[in-house]
Amino acid sequence: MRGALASVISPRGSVKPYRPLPPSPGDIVLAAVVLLSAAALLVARPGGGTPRAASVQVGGEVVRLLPLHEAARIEVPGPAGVSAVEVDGGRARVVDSPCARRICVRRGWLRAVGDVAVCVPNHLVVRVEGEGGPSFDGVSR
Amino acid sequence: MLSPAKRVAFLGLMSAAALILFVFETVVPRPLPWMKLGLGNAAVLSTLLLFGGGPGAAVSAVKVVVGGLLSGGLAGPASVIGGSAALTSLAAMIGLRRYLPGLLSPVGLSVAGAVVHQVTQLLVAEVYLAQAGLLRLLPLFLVGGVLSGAMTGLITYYAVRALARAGYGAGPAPGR
Repeated sequence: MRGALASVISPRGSVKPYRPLPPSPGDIVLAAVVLLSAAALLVARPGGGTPRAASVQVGGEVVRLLPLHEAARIEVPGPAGVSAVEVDGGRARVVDSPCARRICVRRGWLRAVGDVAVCVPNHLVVRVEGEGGPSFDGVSR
Repeated sequence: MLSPAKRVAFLGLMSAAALILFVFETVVPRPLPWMKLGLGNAAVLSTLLLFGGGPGAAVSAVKVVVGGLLSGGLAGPASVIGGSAALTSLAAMIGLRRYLPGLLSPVGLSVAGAVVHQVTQLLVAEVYLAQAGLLRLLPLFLVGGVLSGAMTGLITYYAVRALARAGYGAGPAPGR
């Protein structure tokens, strides 16, 4: 089949495979360099700001600002129903939500400055605020 | 070598393959909007290896423009981000092949293209969508780029080998 095809389309086709063959030394070096820099980025990720509070926003407006150092559990009414937001041990999370897919709840605990949990149906955003800005401000470009 | 008519026909075939793979991928569910295997790049890289940079760029352009039309997002954020990433990744693959021939196999070229693609995507998305914080995903995207690039690179390698045996393209000639 292959021979027939080749003879029809190009009787004198070149039959040499591409060089170098995988995996070439260059391939391995390239993959290693990229993976190592990914690991380095993970390790060297700047600490960023100190988390201070969790802001609770509904429809773009901050309705509550919860200090992270005291445990709290509040109910937040929104267009879709009442969501529950919890602060405990310096972390914040959405505990309960009336939405269908509950992505905000599955987001889990928010710890670092800039971490957010969003509930689109309920127009709810929970975001960790703090000093020194979000941790990604230290990434160089 | 192929006659000009056969070249055109073959490039059309590769463009169609790139398109089908590209559109197929947009339908498959994925964890993050930019975590794709990049199968379309297998067709682009195959063309690049068999016919050189210009034809490779043409297949890539067809993939971005017609693919954008087919998925309904042409001139939308997805096409702007994907298009600029396709451009830099293409430039990286052409450049590496031309100026450092013999260093990277098709798999390595594919990995390099995928990684450049991922980094460009994140940078453009960061600026264009003003989505501060996307760069935090960079390590994840780098690892994803190596894995997906290696997979599409292997596909490319076997495709190019089979096509070269069947008489398409110029065979090995790295750096041509």
